[in-house]
Amino acid sequence: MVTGIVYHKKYLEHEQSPTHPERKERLAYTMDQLKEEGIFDNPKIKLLEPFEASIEDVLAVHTSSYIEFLRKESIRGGFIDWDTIVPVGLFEVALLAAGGAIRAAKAVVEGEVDNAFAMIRPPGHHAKPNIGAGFCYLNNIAIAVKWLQRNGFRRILILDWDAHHGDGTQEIFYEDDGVLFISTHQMPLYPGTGYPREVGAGDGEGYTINIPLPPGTSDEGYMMVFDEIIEPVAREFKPDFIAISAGQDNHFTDPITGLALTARGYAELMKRAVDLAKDLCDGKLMAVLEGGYSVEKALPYTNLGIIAAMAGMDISHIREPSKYLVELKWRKKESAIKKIQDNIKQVRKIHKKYWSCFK
Amino acid sequence: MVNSFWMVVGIDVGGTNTDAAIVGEEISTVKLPNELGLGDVLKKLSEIADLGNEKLIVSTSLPLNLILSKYYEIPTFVLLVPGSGLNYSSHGRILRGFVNHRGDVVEDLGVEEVKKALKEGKSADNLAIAAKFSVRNPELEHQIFNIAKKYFDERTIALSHHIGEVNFPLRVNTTVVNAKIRKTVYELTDLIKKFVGNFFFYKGDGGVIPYQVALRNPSVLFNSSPAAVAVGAYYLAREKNALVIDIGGTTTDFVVLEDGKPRIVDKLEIAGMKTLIRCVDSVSLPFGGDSAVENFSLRPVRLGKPIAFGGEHFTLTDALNCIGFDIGNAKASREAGREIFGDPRDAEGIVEKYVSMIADSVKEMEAEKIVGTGFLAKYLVPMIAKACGVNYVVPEHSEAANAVGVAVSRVSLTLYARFDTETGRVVYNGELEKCELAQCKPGHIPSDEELIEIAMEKARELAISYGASPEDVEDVRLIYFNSYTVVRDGLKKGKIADVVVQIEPGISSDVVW
Repeated sequence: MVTGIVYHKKYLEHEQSPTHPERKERLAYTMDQLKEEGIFDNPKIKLLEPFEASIEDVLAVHTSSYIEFLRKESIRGGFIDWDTIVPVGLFEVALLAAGGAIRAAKAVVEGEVDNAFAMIRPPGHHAKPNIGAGFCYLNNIAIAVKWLQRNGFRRILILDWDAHHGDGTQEIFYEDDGVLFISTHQMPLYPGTGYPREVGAGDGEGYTINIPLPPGTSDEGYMMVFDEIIEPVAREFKPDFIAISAGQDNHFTDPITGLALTARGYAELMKRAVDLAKDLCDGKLMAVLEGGYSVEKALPYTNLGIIAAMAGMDISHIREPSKYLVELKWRKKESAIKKIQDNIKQVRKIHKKYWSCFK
Repeated sequence: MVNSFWMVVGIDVGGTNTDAAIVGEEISTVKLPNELGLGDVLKKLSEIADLGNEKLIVSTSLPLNLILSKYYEIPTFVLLVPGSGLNYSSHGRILRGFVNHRGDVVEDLGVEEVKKALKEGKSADNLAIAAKFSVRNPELEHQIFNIAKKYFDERTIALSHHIGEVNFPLRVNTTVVNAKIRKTVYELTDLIKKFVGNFFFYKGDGGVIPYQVALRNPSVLFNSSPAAVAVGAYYLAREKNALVIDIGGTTTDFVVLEDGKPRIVDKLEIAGMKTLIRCVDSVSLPFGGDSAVENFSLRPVRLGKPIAFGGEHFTLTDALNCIGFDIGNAKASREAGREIFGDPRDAEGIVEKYVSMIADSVKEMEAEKIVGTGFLAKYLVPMIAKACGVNYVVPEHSEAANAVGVAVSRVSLTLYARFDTETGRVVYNGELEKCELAQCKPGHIPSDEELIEIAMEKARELAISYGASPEDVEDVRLIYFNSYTVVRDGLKKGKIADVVVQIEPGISSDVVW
């Protein structure tokens, strides 16, 4: 199995400010870890060079007035919200990030690699058709999924496991029955959406599944959600492509969220997704990097764990160092399991009229 | 021409002979058979050169290559501290402990576990120790080393952080290579030090380093002979772009010269495993002047010296004598040729076969010009050049171009520097140091340019302390740079930077062209 990694050093150039959580160390430290791990000497890994998305590709998701706004503001610097300013030169990097997601999809479709991880910045899943938000400017995964749709894919599963609800992606495909959008996210947390009752509309009714998670959700809780919701509904939906909005901010060392997933838990999740893709769609899967802010601690080896799982490498040595385990004790909440079980029950109940696996 | 006060002795231990060149106002060379042993070679040399006062540079790649050809016969015990990541249990024994990407120890060693492992592995010949991210903080490797000294001869223990470069699996493979050859390099060093107080080793990339540095990472000595040949060929023939063909006793080696420098290969494979060895890209055919002739054909084996030099087996060198050259005792060659072939001139077929084989390789490499070196070059290279229709040069002293190359090269080094101004940590080539400069004090946020300049200055300082001439260190090349700001609680607390700089191998500025 060969896994593609889309990366370009230009992804390090984007910076809102050096102290912003979404800063270049996120990728720089990960690249450090991948280099130390000798990942790029491994025949199971192929480094893929991204290209800039074309305006036409972006127009499939965003409005022309918003694209024009971004382009203009990028020349002198501008402002969307306090989390999301427009630094000079943003537009080119954002196009390269969106293009990176397309590059990943294309490499899988054309058989250049078996699956691919777009290790890109800035992230995208909060970006809506007419506006960016929450560190996001262009919705990379949506742009890539629209590209897949134009290239003959009819049933695409988007699994968004970022700690924050992928409100932008949800909105873009809310009425589309060709895209099943499943999001797990901490609640309450930014952006405040992602309730189970948000199920899609029109033709897309039933094709949006939101699974809120309480702070303190650990590996066990995630696996439970995977077993009881994600896997059965994915099998029923029968996707021809799986796209993952891979936010690594569920890790227990993440400074801006409150979840308690471990690096190994992340690798396990990805392994299950990869196995599911093998069963359902000849292994066609791509992951697009979204959030993940534990730059000092776990982000580098968490991303490594995800790549290892994608490439079918042994993940049994992805682990946490002893000095971090105290933090896990604080962060992980036994009481979360009860809440997760309730949430799962509620989601299954709401969706049983759309999906027979929940009956 | 060279500076009048300057004199360097270059030695290259080849497959059959040891070549030495004394390069000063003039060049003089000697060729001595390896059977004398390096000790006697040095003794003989000290009769014609003042070894105690002249700079001595030694290229010894061949003995090291021989050890590595028996890679699996020399068992290495490998201790690894990989922390979190891929599964390295096929590379060695995995121990508890964890150094993270910042160089912080986030999990301590289990001392009892280390002792237990060492007790079980102590029957091995040598020991390789490698911790992930040890090039950011070598602490855990040092701790294991201190325990391991009780179980292994210190000279047979190799630590991975001395390699300096980020890439754990390749660093492990390179550390294993170091563990296998380290004792031999120590013994060579002890032997040479009986004759001189200080000396240099020649590296596989054509650079020169003090022996103390080579002992830490002896893998850099790998393949130094072809590098020496290439640099020598460039120096003697003044050809910047050419294919160098070195005809030795046991092999014929090819090295491409590009812009006056030998072509270099990265991540060399040894025993099927990728390493961090960066050295000259050479191709070697197992035929040379001492290759034996059996059943009317040339064989890729050396059974002894040519008959022309008192040996008992008919060789390529003897065949050359049969077709009219006068190398050594040509008469003895021809007599032997008569016995074998009836008519000694029939030995021509042997020479022709060798020439066409080499010519085919030259054509394959699409060379436009060849420089011949080695003892037999002046006889064979004109024939090879004719057979493939290219221009050639066989310069004066070509028979010892390797030793000349060693003597005229300059001190070179690669410095892997890592600055972490939040913690005030600076790591130079895997060794943790305290940076006394104001720019790298904790909390200071230096500019990228400042950090690059500090690294360059450190490289200059190191090279000068290694014995480089001030003119040779003016040109420091930046190979890699990456930096990030360290942010804590929304505030900038420092800067992390990786800087790799190099003083490139080249001809020493002491040599005046």
